[in-house]
Amino acid sequence: MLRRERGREPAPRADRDRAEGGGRPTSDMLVVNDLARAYGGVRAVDGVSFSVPAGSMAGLIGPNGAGKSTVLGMIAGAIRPDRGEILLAGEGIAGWSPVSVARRGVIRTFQTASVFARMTVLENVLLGVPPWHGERLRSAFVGRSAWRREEAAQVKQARELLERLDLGAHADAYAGELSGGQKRLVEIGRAMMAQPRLLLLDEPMAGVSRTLAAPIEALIEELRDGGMTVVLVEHELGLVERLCSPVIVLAQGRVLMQGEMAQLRADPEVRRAYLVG
Amino acid sequence: MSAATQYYTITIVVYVCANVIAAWGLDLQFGVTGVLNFAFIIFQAVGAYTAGVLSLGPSSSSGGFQTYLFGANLPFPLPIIGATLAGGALAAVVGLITLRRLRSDYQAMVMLVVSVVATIVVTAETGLFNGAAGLSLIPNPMQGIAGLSRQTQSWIFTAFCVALMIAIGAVMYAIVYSPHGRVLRAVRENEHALEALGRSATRARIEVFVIGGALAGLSGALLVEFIGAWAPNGWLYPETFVFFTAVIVGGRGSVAGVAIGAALIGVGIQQAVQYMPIGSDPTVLAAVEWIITGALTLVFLWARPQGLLPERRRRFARSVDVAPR
Amino acid sequence: MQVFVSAVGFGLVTAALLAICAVGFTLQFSVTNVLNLAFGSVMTGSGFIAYGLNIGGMNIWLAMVIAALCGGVISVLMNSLLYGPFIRHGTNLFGMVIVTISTAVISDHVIEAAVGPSFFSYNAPSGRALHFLDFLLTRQDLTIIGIAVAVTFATQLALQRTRVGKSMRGLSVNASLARACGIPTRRIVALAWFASGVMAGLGGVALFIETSTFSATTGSDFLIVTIAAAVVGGIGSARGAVLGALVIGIVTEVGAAYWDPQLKDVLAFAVLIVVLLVRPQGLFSQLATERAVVG
Repeated sequence: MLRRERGREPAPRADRDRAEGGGRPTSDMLVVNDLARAYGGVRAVDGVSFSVPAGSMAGLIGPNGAGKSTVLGMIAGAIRPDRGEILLAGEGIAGWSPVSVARRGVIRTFQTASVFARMTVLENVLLGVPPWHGERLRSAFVGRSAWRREEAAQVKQARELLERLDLGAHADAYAGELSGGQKRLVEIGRAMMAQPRLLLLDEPMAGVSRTLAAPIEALIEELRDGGMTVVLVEHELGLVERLCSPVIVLAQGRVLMQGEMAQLRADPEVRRAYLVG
Repeated sequence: MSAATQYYTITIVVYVCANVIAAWGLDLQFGVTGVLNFAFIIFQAVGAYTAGVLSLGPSSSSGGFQTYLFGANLPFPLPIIGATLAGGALAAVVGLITLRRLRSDYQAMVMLVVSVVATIVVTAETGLFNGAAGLSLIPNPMQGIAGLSRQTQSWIFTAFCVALMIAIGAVMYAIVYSPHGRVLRAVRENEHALEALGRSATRARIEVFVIGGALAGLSGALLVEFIGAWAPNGWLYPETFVFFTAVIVGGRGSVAGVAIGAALIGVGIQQAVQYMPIGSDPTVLAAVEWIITGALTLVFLWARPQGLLPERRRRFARSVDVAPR
Repeated sequence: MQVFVSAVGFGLVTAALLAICAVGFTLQFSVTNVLNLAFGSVMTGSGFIAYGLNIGGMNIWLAMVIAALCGGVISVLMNSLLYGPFIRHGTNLFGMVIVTISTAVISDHVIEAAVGPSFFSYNAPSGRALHFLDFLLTRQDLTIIGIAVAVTFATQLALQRTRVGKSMRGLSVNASLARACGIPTRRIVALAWFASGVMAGLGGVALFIETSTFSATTGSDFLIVTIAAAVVGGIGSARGAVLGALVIGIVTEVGAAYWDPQLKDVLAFAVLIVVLLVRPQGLFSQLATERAVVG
């Protein structure tokens, strides 16, 4: 990946009003404006715009190849947009590196649950804590008593979280040995430890067995009720219907429609894009 | 103890200490953080050359039969400190270029290339470190202590090496079992996931590259002060592989494991081969050492990739309450 | 000017050697994703097989053919007995690099123990030096250049026109998709190893011919420059390997003529570093994502 400079690009004149709240106060945690990205000749994302109000859970759906993961990747900083702006609580983060975006409070999960395989479940969750002073190299030698206390507090918090996720018994198991659904729980739990301003869930149900689908859905629902802002990319439309509002439909790199799931289901264009009933 | 036995013991101990320290450096890079440093040996070499140059004094003074950079006659332990800094500095330069600007699959290859280039340049540019002949007649570091027999001086140096090894061991434990060590291991396991949590994998890699380079330089200094000579033939690019074997066989990520691996692979094989019924042709002996080293790596990668003493699973104590503030 | 032209001539010979090896190396890497650092050992081994035959009275070019075939067989065996099992055992990309290095170390030193540390020469007169356009090349040099041209053309043709070749290209782009399309992966992979081994053999013998005296380490020393050529051209692209070979071959020889001949390999590597810094994917290949090893 090419290095990206962490800096603000000046917002294009026409959109500056919107960005700085001129005329309309912005309670949107996330605003995506004319986002685009091409691979070779293929326009994976071709001018996508939408906004996600703070505290809401937005669903991003669409057929395969619609560009959902690319959009998510651009928000998370893993993919560099060709054009467009991404505003996190009014601050432009388009083109920032994943590390910078994460430090700003945007935490994401991956399509394949990305745990640290040869580390324990507890250690995995501990790494969800936002970067703190005890992690620095020099802390390994000086002030060990200071961070030991803080680490113990984090461990306590992590254990409680694992209990909530019904993974308490696995705290000392290597994360690589868990099932797909358990790994997903660890991944989401780790994201929760970070207390993000914006959580990006990339197909959380992928690779999850039926037994764990319900607890994971319940967890996501809990997050929404707790006031976290979430963007959820998912193929399972039932989940999206139950949890998300607004729902944004992407097709061929563009926003097809945005609204509540019920009205989207009825729309003939959406149905045609999906080629499913 | 007879003089011969003393000399034998001292040699083994010094070699083991130097090898363990070096292997710990590579373990920090490769075992803990997953950096494939195929140029590792050049950092040991730069340490050895630096210590040599800082002990020999200006090149003209020894009659000019060897030419090299700089030259100073610093007392013990300054050359060793200089060597450690040199190892770290070279690692900083190499690391900042290879670890930041290149794709990870090319990093390993480029490091291999850097190792080869270093050998070519040092051999060709005799003004640097006396080319293919290398440095020799490096003075005994303990000679400043008057009134002691040569043997006692050697024992003091040996004790110094052991003390240093123990100290570095403590440093390794401190790093590996700290929250920082957790971040390093996460780089090894899944760097993209770690970056998505706000930590920079590149920065962690450069940092262990520098520390590992410094440890390699330190080990080079200990060896050169003991042996008294150092030439390009002793640090060709395959030598890095011996340290990889030590880390893999001992137990990557495990401080104690790697120490055992370094002792077995670095010194153990060489000793064992001498007792084998394969004659005494040095070429054959050396070849058999290499063959055993390569075969051990394959056997362990197949049957026991975690090594003799695997990395310890990190368990946290269950506390009822956090200590009051 | 004459110095320059004759240097270019030598550069073409070096480029020919590099091309044969780099094409073999990159073909096998593109199909399997295994960075085979034992390639140099196959070169050396084949070179010594040819030596044995040559000393026994065989014409060097015939010995080259036989040695090359042996190289192919050895490579296939290396994969089926060693690399393949490790891959199926679950070893990842980086683990495989260490497996191949270990194999190289063992092979090189077995050869060294067998032949000893001395230097050898083929019984192959180099022929008259031919003077044309200020080039100064012997019959041998020209034959080797001819072999290189033939090998690269044949490889290109095979990759573009034959079914096997297309299957290889399919595997290199997307292994699981290729498998799903019914491409017999194991067989194609074995063929790729065979082809790469044959080219290693040809390259090894050609190298030993050109360097006039050789030892047990000559092949492995050349491997690093070969990898540099393959990477410069864009690893995985046969055309790139040829381009990389030309660039490095000519740059090193011209540099040796005008500068310090001892440092000519440094030039090759400087080219490599510069290319990687400016265009990380090499001159020809597209940016590849993380790939899994194929065994």
